[in-house]
Amino acid sequence: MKNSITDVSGIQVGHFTLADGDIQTGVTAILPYPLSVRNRKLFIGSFASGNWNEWTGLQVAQDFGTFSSPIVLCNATTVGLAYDALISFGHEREEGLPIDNAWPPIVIGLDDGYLNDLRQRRVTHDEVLRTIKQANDSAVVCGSIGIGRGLCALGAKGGVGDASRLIKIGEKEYRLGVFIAANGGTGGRERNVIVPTSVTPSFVLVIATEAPLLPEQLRQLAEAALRGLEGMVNFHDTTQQLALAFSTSNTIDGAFEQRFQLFKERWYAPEQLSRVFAEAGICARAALQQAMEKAEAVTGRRGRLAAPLTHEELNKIFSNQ
Amino acid sequence: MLHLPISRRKFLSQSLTAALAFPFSIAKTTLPNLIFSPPRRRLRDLGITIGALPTGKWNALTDVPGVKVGHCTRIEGDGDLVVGKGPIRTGVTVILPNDDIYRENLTAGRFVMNGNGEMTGMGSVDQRGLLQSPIFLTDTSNIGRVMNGAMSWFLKTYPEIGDRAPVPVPVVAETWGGFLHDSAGRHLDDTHVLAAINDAKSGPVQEGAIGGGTGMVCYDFKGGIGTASRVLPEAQGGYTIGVLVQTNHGDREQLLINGAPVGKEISDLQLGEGKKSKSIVLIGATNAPMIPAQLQRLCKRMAFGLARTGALSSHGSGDLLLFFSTGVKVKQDAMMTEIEIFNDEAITRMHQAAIEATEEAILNSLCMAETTVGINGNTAYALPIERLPAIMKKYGRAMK
Repeated sequence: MKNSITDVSGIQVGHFTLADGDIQTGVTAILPYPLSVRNRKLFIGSFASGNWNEWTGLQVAQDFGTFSSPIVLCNATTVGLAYDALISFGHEREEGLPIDNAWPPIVIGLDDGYLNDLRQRRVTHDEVLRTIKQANDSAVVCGSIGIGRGLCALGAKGGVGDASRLIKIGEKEYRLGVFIAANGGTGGRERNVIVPTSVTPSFVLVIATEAPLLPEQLRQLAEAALRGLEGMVNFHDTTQQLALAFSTSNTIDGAFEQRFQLFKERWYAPEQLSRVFAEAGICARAALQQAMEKAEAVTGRRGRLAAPLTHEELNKIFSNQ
Repeated sequence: MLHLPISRRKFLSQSLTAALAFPFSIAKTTLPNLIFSPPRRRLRDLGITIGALPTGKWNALTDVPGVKVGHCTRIEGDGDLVVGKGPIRTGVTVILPNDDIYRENLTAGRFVMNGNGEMTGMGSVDQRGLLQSPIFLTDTSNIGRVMNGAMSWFLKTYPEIGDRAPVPVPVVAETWGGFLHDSAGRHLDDTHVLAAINDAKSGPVQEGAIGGGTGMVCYDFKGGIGTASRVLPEAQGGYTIGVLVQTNHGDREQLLINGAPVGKEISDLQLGEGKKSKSIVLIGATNAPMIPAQLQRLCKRMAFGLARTGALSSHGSGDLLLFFSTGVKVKQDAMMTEIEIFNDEAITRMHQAAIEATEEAILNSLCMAETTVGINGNTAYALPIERLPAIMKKYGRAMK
């Protein structure tokens, strides 16, 4: 185990970072399965809290409970460009953009405007595409990298982090991973300092598991992961919270190849899943710890500096883990 | 193949003249009915009246005061598909709910009849119940391009965005235009989005194969943009409901016009081979002051209007609905806004208005769309409106 979301079989992650003066941003792509896998849908569930949580592809995800796209996190003004890159990606896979082969794209925009000049859209279509194609299953680099580059959280430099757990349901073992983009919230600092924060801070969690879950259960898993941060992060400052959870089991393969067919899936009784939900919360806290511990100081827009939490501050927040 | 260096709309309005002037070139085209069919007319102008309520002045979404609609259309090239080159049959249609939607938000509600589509920017609608973006309609592959073009417009128009104000997510909805259009080539950029915004105006709305509807196919006829409106009696508030649709849905045999099985009666003029994908986007607006829950209810009645045209909302169809009210304005930085809201006890008539306007808007898209030849000679034929009187008569539907 790498203690990374890439421990979940098939998951690949890619980062692209752009650090140049007022531009401190990046892109992170999470692939639910390798590019070699085709015509596959996975079940997905989502949970959102806060004023607005924008993600594309939600019409299919919410109505059908499925998705087949890489999940791309980018800054808030780059969403259209990233979406267009995923359209290119989809057309490369199959001309007709069917929903079991990368359409519709899932793109989540984050406001990294404290450190990054959002009015300049310097990330390009090709860089997003490359981020997807260079994704791999090595342990995810955490901190001020990818979309984490310009993020601020808990009154300090935020970033991206991830963690994983081995969970047991009955005799079966499954892996579960949580990826977090920490951008907002309070609770980390005691000193009276200038708190770096963006206009619309947001926490985004992506939870992947090998446990075979259905969309309703995945919505609960998403909520459970997010609730795991309660007590550690104070979201009262209007930080948006969005969690997407998906299962790499219970796949739907080749739906277009033969219309009248049945798919074999597994349905755990709710009481079997309580441990899974609890572990998702623990894993979310561990992912946040990774994000905050690995975050490096970044100087960005208008010379603003966001410094990471000190060891003492980190200990205070995470020592009970 | 027919190719003229003027806009298609202009060309089509002059088709009879053109036919007389260039009889030999026209004869070689694959558009035989272009020459002989009468000009396109809206359903009501054909003598077919949907429902009982009166229409607004323009019988269009723009009858809702302050709402503007604009189009940018790209129709270029003919012949075999060459990805990245064409033929191009796409565009963008924009709805400006007011003149300053980012700073003065309006209430909105949405409904998903069938989810196989995309309408971006719904986080604000879902979580806050507010619309903060113009609404853009385009073809599936151009979603990202139009979002990015809309972002360019936002950043240019509002210098506070990305600095001290939230970055909005543009509302962009799609239907699949790949039967006629070089979908993978996309062919839209910032300039087309800005052109559509600059074209936005109140008054009559151009319908059919225009803007986002350029490449669309509906009930296996040429579809596209359609609109209609209804006005409530003064005693019931005198409010207006407008609906604008981008139609790309349905199978031929499903089509009903005023309840008559028109699709079953017209078995020729079929699409032929080529990938089709079905979807419809329905946008409603009213000046009745409503909260999001009420607007969600009106969305569901738009779905009823869709059903009245025969649609069964197939699996592959992205049937997405959004309704906004110009009657509740919420300033972006307002701490508290005093609003008036519509009485639920009177909403049934609004339901009727939404259903009637939707049914008529969808049928207007069919009545107004011209036969369009796209990639690889793929042809979507215009609904032969000259046949409607006989069909209406056969099924006992009144014509005026």
